[in-house]
Amino acid sequence: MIAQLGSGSVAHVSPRAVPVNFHLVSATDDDPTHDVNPRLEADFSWDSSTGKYDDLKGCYVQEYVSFPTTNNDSCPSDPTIKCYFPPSPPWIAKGQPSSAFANPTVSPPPGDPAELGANYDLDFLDNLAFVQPYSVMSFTGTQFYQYQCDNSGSWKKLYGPASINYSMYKDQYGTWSVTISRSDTDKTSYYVIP
Amino acid sequence: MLLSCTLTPIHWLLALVQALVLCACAYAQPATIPIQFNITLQKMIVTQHEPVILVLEFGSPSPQSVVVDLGYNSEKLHITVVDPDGVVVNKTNSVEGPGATYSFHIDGESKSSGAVPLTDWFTFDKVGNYEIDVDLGAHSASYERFSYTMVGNRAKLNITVRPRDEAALRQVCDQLLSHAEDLPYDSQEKWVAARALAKVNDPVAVPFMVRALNQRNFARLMIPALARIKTADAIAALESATGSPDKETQSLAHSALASLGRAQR
Repeated sequence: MIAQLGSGSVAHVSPRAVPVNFHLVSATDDDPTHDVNPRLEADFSWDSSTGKYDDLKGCYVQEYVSFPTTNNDSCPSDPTIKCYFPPSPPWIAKGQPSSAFANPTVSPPPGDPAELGANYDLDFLDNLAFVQPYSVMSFTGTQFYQYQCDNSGSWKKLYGPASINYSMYKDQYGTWSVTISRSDTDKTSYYVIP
Repeated sequence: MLLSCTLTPIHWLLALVQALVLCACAYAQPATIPIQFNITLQKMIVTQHEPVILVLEFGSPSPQSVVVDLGYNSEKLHITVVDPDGVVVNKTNSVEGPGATYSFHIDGESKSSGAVPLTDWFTFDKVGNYEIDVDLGAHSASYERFSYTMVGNRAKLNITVRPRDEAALRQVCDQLLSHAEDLPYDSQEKWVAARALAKVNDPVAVPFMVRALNQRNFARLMIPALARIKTADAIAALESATGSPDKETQSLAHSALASLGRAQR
């Protein structure tokens, strides 16, 4: 960027560093034995547009996930925000832990410091009290990562959309499982319902 | 029998290649940085409803800077609290979404410190003595840019909660608000102070929360806090916030009032 200072003098002004090249580095099924709880970890990384992470100080990265707009109600832990409640049965009964997903789910302010250069997302269900009768059913969250460097409240897209899918299904042997998958990786975490 | 030690050019070439490979491997392996931790509490005696703040001090003998990231929902931080009645409470993940991110930058060969409000996960509403067991884990996580090991990463702490002292609590809220208002946007201390203020579950905090609402960035912290306290002053502040020029503040205030059964026209 070149700034005109008047009287013909010109100064070179470095553009503000911003996070770039946000990408998925790896995904891991944190429940490899499929009997603890479904938990899919997605590790992300990004660069600085100047090549120096320290230049990103003052920039923040936030996660923004939106869920369906049906079955929305006040969140149990904070009634001032809206939550999505997946249909129960078969999902967790309303009011129980893991029965609600903040809609939208947004990182708490001010977000993750961008100079970290990396973060990760955990998509999981801690509560396994699925409600019978089980049925083949899924719901999806749409995830974006955004950044801001100017404290303007205006977040710019950095990554996404990526779909986070929570599914319940029955295999050919009649066993019910719950899976968590993402559209940006083949990795899936699944939990076999005992 | 005499063994020949003569090195042929091919031997020299192989030795050179081996040396180069070893050098490359050594360069590619990130050095593991040892970090010395000291975990304390900002105060060992607080008044009822006052935030309890954990202080983390770090020292690194390495010339390289390092960033310690506590991870999603600060899951690297394991905490158990035993309250005055002997009830054991473990830190759990945020129920419906991600919790705050805490990360700490340590310059090479220097010391630094940071804070984490324990009121993100715990309440200290009972009068009496609490035991707090903190474990930060001993190693960096796979997702982090830096490889480090931590020494002094565990601590057993004690805190005494004294009966509610309104004047003391007002002074604490005033200090937290000053930090939240005055520190720059990219200061982690600013956000620690704002989060701690938002967790003061006492009507004394209301005017300080209302002042904090003047900064748009704090709306997502202060509006739920005001709705939780829901005194007449808190509700009046929420009603006023529905007229904020900031759309997010407006929307949050409307939702908060609706959750209190006070839908705005």
